[in-house]
Amino acid sequence: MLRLIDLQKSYRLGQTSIAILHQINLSIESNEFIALMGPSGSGKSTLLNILGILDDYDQGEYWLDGTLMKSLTETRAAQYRNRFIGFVFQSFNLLSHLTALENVALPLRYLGQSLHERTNCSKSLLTQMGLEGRFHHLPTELSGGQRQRVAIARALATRPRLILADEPTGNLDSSASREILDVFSTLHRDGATIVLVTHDEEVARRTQRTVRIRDGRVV
Amino acid sequence: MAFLDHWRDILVGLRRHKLRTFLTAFGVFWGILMVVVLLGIGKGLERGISQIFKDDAFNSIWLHGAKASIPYAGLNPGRPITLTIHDLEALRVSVPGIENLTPRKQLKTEIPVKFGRKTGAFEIFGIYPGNQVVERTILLEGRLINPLDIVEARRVAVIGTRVVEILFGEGEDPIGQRIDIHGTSYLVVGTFTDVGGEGELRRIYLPFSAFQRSFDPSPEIEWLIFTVKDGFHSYPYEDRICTLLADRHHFSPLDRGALDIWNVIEDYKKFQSLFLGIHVFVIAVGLGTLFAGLVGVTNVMFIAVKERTREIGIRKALGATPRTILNMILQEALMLTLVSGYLGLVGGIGFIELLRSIEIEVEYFRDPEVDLGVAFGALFVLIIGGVAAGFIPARYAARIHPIEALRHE
Repeated sequence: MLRLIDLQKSYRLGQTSIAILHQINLSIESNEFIALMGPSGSGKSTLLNILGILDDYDQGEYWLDGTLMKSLTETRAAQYRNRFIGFVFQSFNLLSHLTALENVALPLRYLGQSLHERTNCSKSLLTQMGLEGRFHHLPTELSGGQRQRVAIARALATRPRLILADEPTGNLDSSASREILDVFSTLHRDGATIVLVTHDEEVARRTQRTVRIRDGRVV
Repeated sequence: MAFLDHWRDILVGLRRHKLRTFLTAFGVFWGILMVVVLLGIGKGLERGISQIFKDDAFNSIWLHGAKASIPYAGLNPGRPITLTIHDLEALRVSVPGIENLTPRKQLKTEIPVKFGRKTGAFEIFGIYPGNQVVERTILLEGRLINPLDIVEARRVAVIGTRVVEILFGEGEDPIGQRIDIHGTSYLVVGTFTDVGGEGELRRIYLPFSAFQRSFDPSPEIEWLIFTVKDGFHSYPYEDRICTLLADRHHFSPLDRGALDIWNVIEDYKKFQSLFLGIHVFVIAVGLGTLFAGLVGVTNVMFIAVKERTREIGIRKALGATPRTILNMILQEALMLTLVSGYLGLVGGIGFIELLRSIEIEVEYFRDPEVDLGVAFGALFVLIIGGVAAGFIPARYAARIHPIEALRHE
């Protein structure tokens, strides 16, 4: 489903260029649940950005669901992100002036769906996340766990191929964390492909496979 | 409904800082208000002054003999110069581009005119038909003085409305009546009005030849008036006439005091360039104010974009294309300009209409108006201005890199 072949990325700093990722080869099958681990500065975030089509790379290939993701224009990258990727962030990243329902509906708007379609779709996703009474609440009126569930519903909205979760439990207490990890497990059981970045071995243990990154290499 | 959440996005940005949005909007509002009000008042000024020019033909030149002011050929200064009917013929023969040439002879004082038992004192003029063109005499009933009246020296009269009111009773038709002017009977053939004011309505116009026979056979005339044909407006009439009449009346061709020359064309041109100046000034001031307002919009949109960097990053991560972001910011700027500008436009028109309704009676000001062209022009400027004001911040927003934006606090 997802293949990285000899992927390289370096940043130019003045005259010298600093390699962040060396010869990454990684393949993720459909319906896999993977933990991505590594100390800070290991290149983990850069890899996640590349997987999320937020960043480009220098050499190698990134195939996502049979499509090569390379040297895309901003517009094309935005369209692929919209259709292929669902993001879940550590700090939720909900738009504070939009209600739960409007937040979930946002990617569907960029997909070009009508208000009616996206409202129905968003309502069913929020219901699925156990938030049926919270459609018209603003993010500030929700608890941390509830906010993250809104964010997961938003990540699922366009039925993406890949869910990328960056420390999704990093800002949550232990019970809310468990709750969110249960949600990911359920999604996985229902067929989703998930890449979850974490520092926490406990969290990693709940996934199928752990990919460790150190100094820009998969170890 | 479909537009609703789209518009909510736009409104949210503007509502987040109400005072800031209000002050920015006020800048644009004031700019448009200034343009509209100044142009409206400019129009009133123009109409007021145009009204003054409506009295007489704007292309007329009026000559009147004055006094020689410098010695010439052994003749002393201070000698009066008096024009004659022969000068008129000389002008007709040797000065190009002349039309409606007319002499004017006038009795020195108002003299009593009688009809039946009623009497009034009026100004009596002997004229050629051209006088009625240069004076812009407006015929009400009957006819004006015609060339045949001159040739046959008919004793006919065209009288002003005040004369009619004083000599004739209510509902009495003056046309065909005979009035007694200083002992001579004249047939009233027409009545007229004139925008030149009360004084001109107390006039009685007679054929020049009849006037000469009845009152003053001398060839001397008070005024010599003509209009200039199209295409001759730049001809140096004053020089040409001075030279011609200097020769005939033995004064120095350089003597500018010998003749009173009132060149309406020159005055009209001056006023036209004054209007143009006022127009340009008004538009420059108005657009300047508006421009300052639009710069305010650009500034505020820039600040708003900076503040919303993270939000823009999130939107991009969720699939918003650069174009979507560009449109979002542009529409916000456009909305801010259009709403405030529209209010300014309505306010400006309201103010001008108010001025109109209280009908200020000032000589150089009447009937101010915002014409449709100004209104549409202002709207057009607003749309262009709004897009221009929003474009730089919008392009900046569209170029924000999502990774950096997501890191932004």
